[in-house]
Amino acid sequence: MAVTDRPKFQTTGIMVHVVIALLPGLGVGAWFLGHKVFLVVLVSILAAVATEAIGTRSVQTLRDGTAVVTGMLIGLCLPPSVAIWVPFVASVSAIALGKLVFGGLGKNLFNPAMVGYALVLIAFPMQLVYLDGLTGATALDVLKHQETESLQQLINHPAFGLVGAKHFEWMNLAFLVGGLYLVLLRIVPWLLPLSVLLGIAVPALVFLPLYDATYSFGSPWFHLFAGGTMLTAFFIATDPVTSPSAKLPQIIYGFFVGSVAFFIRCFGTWADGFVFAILLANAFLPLLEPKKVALDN
Amino acid sequence: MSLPNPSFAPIDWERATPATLLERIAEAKIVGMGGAGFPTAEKISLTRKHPPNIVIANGMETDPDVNADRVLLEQHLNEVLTGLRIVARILSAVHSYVVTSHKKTIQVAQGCLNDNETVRYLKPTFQNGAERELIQILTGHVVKDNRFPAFDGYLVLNVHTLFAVAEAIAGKPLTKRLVTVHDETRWIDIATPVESILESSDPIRVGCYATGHRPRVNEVLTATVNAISTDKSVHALPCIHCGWCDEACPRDVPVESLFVMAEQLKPNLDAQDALNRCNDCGACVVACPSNIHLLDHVRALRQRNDIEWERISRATQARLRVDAREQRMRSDVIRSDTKRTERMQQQHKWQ
Repeated sequence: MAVTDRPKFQTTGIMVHVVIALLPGLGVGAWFLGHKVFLVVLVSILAAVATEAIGTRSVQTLRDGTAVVTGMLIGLCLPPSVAIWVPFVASVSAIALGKLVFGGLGKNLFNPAMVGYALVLIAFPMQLVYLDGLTGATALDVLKHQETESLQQLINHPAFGLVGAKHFEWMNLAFLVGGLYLVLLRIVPWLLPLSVLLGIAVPALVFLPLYDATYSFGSPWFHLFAGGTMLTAFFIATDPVTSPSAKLPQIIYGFFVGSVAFFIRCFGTWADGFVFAILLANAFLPLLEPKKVALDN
Repeated sequence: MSLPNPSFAPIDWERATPATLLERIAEAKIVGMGGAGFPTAEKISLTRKHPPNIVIANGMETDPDVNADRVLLEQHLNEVLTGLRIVARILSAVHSYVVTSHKKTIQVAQGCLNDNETVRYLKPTFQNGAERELIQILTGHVVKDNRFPAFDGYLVLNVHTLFAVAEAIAGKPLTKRLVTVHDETRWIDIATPVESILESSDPIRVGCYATGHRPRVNEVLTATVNAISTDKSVHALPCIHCGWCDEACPRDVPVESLFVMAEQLKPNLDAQDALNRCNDCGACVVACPSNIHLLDHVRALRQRNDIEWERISRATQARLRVDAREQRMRSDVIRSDTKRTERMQQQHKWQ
């Protein structure tokens, strides 16, 4: 009997734990944003599972549980105000264009959930704006369009919460708790989420003194607890298929994701930049870790 | 049923000469029962040429879900210690060690040890069962990669081998061994067909599920096999590139890269260093969440590389042969040309 320092997990078991770790975030999201969150997540999951089953023409491929996780992540990325066909389109395109065309599980270059989300984000941008009567514009939108003058006024804006964006900071906290659960189980390597968080916090810290009377970039705490920071750091950037497994590539990958997201938040067109940061980092992955690509020599 | 064999009588090992004992071990055809199957008599006589000697009884069980060594130490600790002392007597060893990760055995063994014998507990990690690692942990001596431990005077024998030695000296041939069959360890006659040992609808592996191999046609149980297991890799999922195999490897072999290379079904000579470093411990197979039998792929790649090296060496030899022949023929032509020139000059002189 040999001992291993890592608890024994099956791929299916990993996905079950990921779903469990996502549940607090889902619960907090439903608490603040309304019960429609559940409907969006449900539609996403069902569409993803159905697409996988139809695409591979078997239910055997479903037993790894990755389709469920992909669907769940898409559902959590989308705002609850979205029309119900949007999660459907996102999930179908995520599984079909993000995963199956590459040859199924383990062969995809891009994170499937982010492929689906990016597609609907570009195709139907108006659908994806958080526009329920509860919050009005989100803090990230406020940051982008700068209706205020100084950092202090920004913090006092109604879209801002205690440290991050109103409501979203609690969702981020819940995702942080779920993510730490995965890190403690050693399903998720600790270095990758840490690099992502540092990747967004360090540029924010560098840009913090640069604000003047007319423009502010937001504090590191704000960026850590706004938008999809924690969800991305712990659940999306750590997708084993599309993230590196060696230490140094993990640091580079994570820092790249975090800082690109920061720059898109502050200078780009989109409110939150994580989706494009992830897709861009995925494209660089074969350079970071050449072993994951079977080169024909 | 055992036939009386007059030449296989019990030997009083405390009085017999080392040569007699060694002859008996060779006669009993004992091989390393930890898995390698190296002839024990040869290993002992090889070590004997390089004194001072240290003997290590390897009771480390690093194969997952296997208990054969532990059960042997529980049932027959005295015989194992006798075997150890016999080998130590042959070598006039300066010290002997018993290593195990079974704490109860250590308590029992500590009561019946001589001065130059030590029993040690080691954590049952994957690398702690390997010969060179054991020598390093116990004595601090590092055996170089290109040397046998025997050349440095170290002898590591599996506890089952030592048990077989003690039995052979006592005049009893080795007819059965402890085998873990699906979580249950029992004595099984050697040369039993492996398919009849474990009745299972799933495919089986000879050895533990991590390091064992698929049964060959009509394969029978040999003395080196410590388990018969069900094959977990038949329900393998695709690789998700999590890198847990790389992390688990005690020898830092890039297992995932080797797997990607192996899936191309081609030899890859760049991977030879990594393949040589791997000692088939099976840690990667245990770590894989998708139940991929990575060791099968590593072994397949190693085999393809061996064939490729063979092909290259043959091609090189053929090239050298052809070059040598061309050289020879060219020099023949030159020689005949020179001769002709000389002859013509001589003829010229005559005229």
